[in-house]
Amino acid sequence: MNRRRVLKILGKILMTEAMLMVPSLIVSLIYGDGDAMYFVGTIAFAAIAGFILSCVKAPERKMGSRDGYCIVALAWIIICIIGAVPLFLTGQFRSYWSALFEIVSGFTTTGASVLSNPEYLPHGVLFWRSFTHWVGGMGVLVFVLMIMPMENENSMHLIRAEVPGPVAGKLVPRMKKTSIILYGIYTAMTAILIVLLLFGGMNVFDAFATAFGTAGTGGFATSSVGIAGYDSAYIEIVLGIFMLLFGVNFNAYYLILIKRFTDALKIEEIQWYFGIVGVSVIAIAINICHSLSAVSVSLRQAFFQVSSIITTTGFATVDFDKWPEFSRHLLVLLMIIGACSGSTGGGIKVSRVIVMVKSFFNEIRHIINPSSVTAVRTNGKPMDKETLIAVRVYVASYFILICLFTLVISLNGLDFTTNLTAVLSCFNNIGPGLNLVGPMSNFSCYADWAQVILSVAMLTGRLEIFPMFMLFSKSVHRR
Amino acid sequence: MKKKNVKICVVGGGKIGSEIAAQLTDNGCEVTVIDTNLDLINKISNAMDVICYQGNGASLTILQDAGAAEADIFIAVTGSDELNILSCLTAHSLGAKNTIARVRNAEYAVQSEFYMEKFGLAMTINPDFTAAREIERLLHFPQATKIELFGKGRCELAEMKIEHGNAIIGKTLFEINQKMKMNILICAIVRDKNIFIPNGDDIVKEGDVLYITGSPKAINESLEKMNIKVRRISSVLIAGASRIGFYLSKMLEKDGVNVTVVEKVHSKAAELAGNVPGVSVMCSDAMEYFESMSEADIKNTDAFVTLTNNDEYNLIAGMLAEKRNVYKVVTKMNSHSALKELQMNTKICSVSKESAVTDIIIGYSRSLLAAENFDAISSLYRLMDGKLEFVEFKVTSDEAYLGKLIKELQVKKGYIIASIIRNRRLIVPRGDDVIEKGDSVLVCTVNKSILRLQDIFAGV
Repeated sequence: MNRRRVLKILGKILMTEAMLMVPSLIVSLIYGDGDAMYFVGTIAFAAIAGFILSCVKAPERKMGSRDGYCIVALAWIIICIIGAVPLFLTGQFRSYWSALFEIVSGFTTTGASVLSNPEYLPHGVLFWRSFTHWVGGMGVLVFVLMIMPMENENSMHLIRAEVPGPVAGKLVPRMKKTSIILYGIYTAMTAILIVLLLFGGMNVFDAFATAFGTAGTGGFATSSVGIAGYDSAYIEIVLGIFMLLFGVNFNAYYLILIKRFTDALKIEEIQWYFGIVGVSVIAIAINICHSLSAVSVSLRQAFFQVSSIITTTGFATVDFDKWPEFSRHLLVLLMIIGACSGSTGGGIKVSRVIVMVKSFFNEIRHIINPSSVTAVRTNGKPMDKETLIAVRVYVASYFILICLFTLVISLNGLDFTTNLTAVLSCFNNIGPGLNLVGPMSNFSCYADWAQVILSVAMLTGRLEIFPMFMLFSKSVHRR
Repeated sequence: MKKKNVKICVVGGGKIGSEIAAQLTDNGCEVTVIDTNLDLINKISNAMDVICYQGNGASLTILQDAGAAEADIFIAVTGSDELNILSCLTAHSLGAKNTIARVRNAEYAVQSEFYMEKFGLAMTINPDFTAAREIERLLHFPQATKIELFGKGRCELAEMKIEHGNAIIGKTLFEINQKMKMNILICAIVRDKNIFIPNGDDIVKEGDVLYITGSPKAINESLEKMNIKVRRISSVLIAGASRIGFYLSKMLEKDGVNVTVVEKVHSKAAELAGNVPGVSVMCSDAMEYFESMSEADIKNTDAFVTLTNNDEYNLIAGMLAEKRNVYKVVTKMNSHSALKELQMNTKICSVSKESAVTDIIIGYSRSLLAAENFDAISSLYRLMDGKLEFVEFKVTSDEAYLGKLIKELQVKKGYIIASIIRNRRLIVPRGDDVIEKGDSVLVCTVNKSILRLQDIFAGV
């Protein structure tokens, strides 16, 4: 790994972060809650440190895949470390580590909070917390690539490490243009959502914060009651639909943008995705309807919760922890499946689930008839062997890591359901879990050290395992 | 000026295809690569900022997916001529503006005019032929390590290494021009792997590589003044009856040069012997044959050209020949080969098919970029892996710089006007010369990607 190059890019990232904090600074100046100084200090520090680092002379050698993965992992770590500073300065968090947990949860679009009453935070910080969802959803590096000049840098490796899903593809030949298109679509959809929320009677601040949380599939609420506080069918349905839309592979939107509608609808992953959502909503609605007044209420609740969990957003309008066992279990399953690849959501990703399901049936066929030759086909094309292997390794590593993280967290002494769902929720970037970390509680029940472990779990999940572990690989530290 | 993004679609990601893709990406084009080979696709998409599609480059669906219809330039350089032509035909009917096909089969290559007229191809390229022509030029002027002609042959560009005993060592460029009366221009100097554009006070040192422009006659006269003996190449030994070997032996034979081709595979040797009468063909391993030659034979061999498909073999055979004091050694070598390092300390010249073709295509795409309203780039030649460029402009419009003395125009750092051709006469430009309408101006630069002649002047 070339340290100078890494330092240079980290410098650029710090400068970008300083820039990203400016909107929050403006918000804090508007509301005058006295948090402006926190931002001024952090921005100044990040900008100066970033500028110094970006002056490092980097060699012209092309960046390898190893450098790309490390840069992405380090970038996310450093951006969280700096991003937590304004939160910590408010004094609302019991330690810096809790503030770090909160901001990691923001950037990774998890939306798990350690605060029981986020409304006590000053508006600027509250805005920053939600804004990190928006940036983290599409990707920090994608953003950096869009605004910073990157000559001689082979940015494909950066994107591959950051964009979720088994195969990262470009939309147009130029990486920079690709990131501009992605952020363009993303910004436009967010803007539409903000307008729709304002129509629904939300105040301006909440509309922005909620839209950021939805777009990044994050899920930070601006108050302890969250979306449930509005008790508006309109807002719930708008959010439910938009959460689902942000969980769709963004390539589909590009295809729609260039007027290839049929191609967009033909993407197998999207068909499965909506299929899973439809089946789950109906199953849960039937399961919970006996305790509710009307079928429409149960459908509305089921739709919002399913959409929130499968896209790994983590908003909640009801305490689904109190639902019947079947519904709770189904939600845990949806947590694991997650959204589409190339979207802002987390989880294993529907495309990987498709591959695993198809491989499963191929294997059965192979056992029945050992001489049969099978291929896993997606979108009508056979998948190449290396991607297949990568998917299988990913899924295996995923479950092993879930077990390991749960084991480590168990040292904190909480019960199994809480620990498992907390890890699942963090790793898949959802937010709420079950029991003590259910939708109406928060993560303050964990000790500082456990929160740091969960922060690592969130980053590992967001970056899809390998970049984080690359940092510990020996060969990476060789020059 | 708003820079228009030229969209390029390349079919075939082999050596030539990937080289073209890399160079065009560096030149600011948006490049799409199509190849059937997934490994190649992965390698290319990892190495450069292009978008790749896997599939057959002549298939409609793939071409539509890859956006061939919007391509400004569509280049088909797979190993198969038929596929290339078919791909170009398909892309052209989809709407690709300019289509270029690699056609290397000699039988098809002669029909290139027909393809352009009837099939709508913009150009066919034949890397083997291009490389063979480059070698032929080198053999015409063996003192240079590289040679290129501009302005329909009126201006010659030579790359040459200054060796011990050269009369210009230790002299400033001003002295060379004024006292030694050489009517040539030293455009660029490579010293310790650094390339720079010199001014009148710079001193030539031993070991420098100079890029010189001038009329062929002036360059020849200058060589005599530099104490370099001029030797005419009259007998050439070629190793390998490859396609380049075929074209080269044909050209040399036409020039009246004594050509011997050594080829290991009998069928290939027989084919060449049948197609190029007047060339003596030996069926043997080139190095073995070389070993078996008598001292007198080796002495009578003016040049040894190694053109087998194996770069390593080419270089080793070339080194052997150099050791035996063969006057001129030329090898065929991929421009990105690690072997380049080995070749550095020898006098061996190398020629690469890939870079020869890439230069043509980049020159073509650059002239498309500059086509609107500006002085057209009529040719482009790139040296030192593209670090040094010679760009020829045809001045057709009225510009502010016309009629002003060059010293008043203040040519920017990193540029030099290498030659002006006016009324079929070459002018070696000095400070008191002017540029007129209708001139053909050759600019030498170490700064990449100039599009307009006026961009090089600070004083306009």
